[in-house]
Amino acid sequence: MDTLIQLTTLFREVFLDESIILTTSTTSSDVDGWDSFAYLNILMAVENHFGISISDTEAPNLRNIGDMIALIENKISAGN
Amino acid sequence: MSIVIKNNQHNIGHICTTQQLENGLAENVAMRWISANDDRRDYTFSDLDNESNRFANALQKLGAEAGDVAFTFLPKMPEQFFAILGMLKMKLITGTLFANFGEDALLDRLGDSQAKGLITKKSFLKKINRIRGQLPALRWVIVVDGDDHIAENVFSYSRLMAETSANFITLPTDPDTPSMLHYTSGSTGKPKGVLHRHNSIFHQHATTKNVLGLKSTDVFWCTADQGWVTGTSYGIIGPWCQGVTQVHYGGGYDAEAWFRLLQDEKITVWYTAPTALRMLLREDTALFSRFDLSSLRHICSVGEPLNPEVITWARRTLGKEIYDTWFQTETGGIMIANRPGLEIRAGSMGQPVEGIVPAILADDGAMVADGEQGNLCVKAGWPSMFITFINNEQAYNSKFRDGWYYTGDTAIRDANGYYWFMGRSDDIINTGGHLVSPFEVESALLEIEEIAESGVIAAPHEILFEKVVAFVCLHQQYEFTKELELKIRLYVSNKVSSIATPQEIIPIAAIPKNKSGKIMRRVLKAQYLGTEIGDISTLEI
Repeated sequence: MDTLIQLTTLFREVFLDESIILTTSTTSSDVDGWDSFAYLNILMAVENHFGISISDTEAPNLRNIGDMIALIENKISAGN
Repeated sequence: MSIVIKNNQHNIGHICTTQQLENGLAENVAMRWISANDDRRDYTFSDLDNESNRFANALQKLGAEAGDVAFTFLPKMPEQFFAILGMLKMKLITGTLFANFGEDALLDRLGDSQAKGLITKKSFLKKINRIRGQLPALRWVIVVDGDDHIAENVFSYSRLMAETSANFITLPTDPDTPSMLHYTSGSTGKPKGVLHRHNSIFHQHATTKNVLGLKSTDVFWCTADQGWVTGTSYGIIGPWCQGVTQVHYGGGYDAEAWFRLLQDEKITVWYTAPTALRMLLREDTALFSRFDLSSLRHICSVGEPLNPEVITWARRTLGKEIYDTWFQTETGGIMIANRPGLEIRAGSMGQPVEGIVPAILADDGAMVADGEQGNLCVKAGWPSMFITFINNEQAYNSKFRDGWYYTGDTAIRDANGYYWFMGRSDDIINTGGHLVSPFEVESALLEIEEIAESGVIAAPHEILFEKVVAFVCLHQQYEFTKELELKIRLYVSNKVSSIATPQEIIPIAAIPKNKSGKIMRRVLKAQYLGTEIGDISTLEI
């Protein structure tokens, strides 16, 4: 399934909000409740769902959903 | 009479707006609003007056009356400021709710206060609609987005504002009239509604001037959210009651964006939190050298103790002093502070501000000697002292003894009169400058099907000062997995608030309790920290 679609489903679960629609340019200011605490929930949900590990140095560099998708797809293709 | 009070009018909404027009500041910028997407708009004091007048008129139209309780439940945005000032002009008891509160936290606060009104946004209505059946007192809801009313008693802000006049005469307001309402967490029981009065403006005015060091020509940026006391006392009342221009920014933490804002807006005084400063300390030093901070006179901080390392970093990297200040929701304004003109003792709370008499008292009420730890107390009667816990006079009275307010913090006073924070005398968790009740988190955890028992403690954290750590005992048939860990985090986040989310969840065979069933959090904490457990004679397991 398309990574963006999967991420949208994950975000809806994380924020209990079925109205969330993500695009590659979505940032934290576009999603109600996305603060630094919620970001940790997002990262854990992404790690669990995609079976990847995101390091403390990688996490702060994700400026938008497009960055997140690129990181996820790189990690999946690299097998880590 | 104080320069802030004219004609015996103590109304905070009036003083922050109409009175500034009378002072000749009508066309001065009161607020430069900068959205997370960098959209900018300036609002003069005349705009602030007109918009808050319109909102007060809209409230009248909805049948709101002085003494009614109403809340804003919004992220930082211009409409929130207009609404708060309009509610104060109408003498409503004006509460603010942190935008990331979950439905349990909202229900506790709206239900306990018997709130009659709420100002929010469409996307937040989902949370409200899930609990509205349990809020029989709630008569009206205003949503700030959308041009038309949504349903019976769910009104459009823009339509209400378009249909009302910008003329409003604020009725004379007595200093004892209730004003702001903020809920604060306790280590036991539900959050308590801390009620203030319009007279608080005396102290907020004085400390804005004498501690933050603001002058009428300053450009001030307070990063605190209006959901918390700093965001109202020093993000609204203190600066605007003396005609100071404020920058308000709708975005979250972003080192580069923040420093660009400090530079481009020529911020002269910046009030922020130690957590944010510690995050900045971790950034690449090269970032800061790209920005010109020559307009910035100094930085102030509040929320949790500021470690000396941060003060040293700011001097070395930014060439600026950071003045740490201390106050609580209950105190309404700064009580003890480092400040310009007073030698900074790095890591200390500073010295008492003018008119405030603190003391370090033993549990029996005796004064302890300098250098010895005790309860940090403040002589009751300062102008911004809270006037009650709503619906809980007994809890309010329990905070006072022999004319002293017991803050719940423990501290030391040194021989030079500086105060040093030592900790809490209860189990409250201070994470990122926000107080979290272990009881609230434990209660939410018990609503999760897999969890049989829970115990929540504070543990030290490099950035947040303290983090929430949850011990959970699962029902026999369940296993602790990564999926369950995520489920627990999300449940607490959505039910209580994102800041209450446990940063660590530890499965445990049983939660230690005493013989009367009380969770022994100190045993859990000792276990977590690997320290001596101490007296466990009352331990049940």
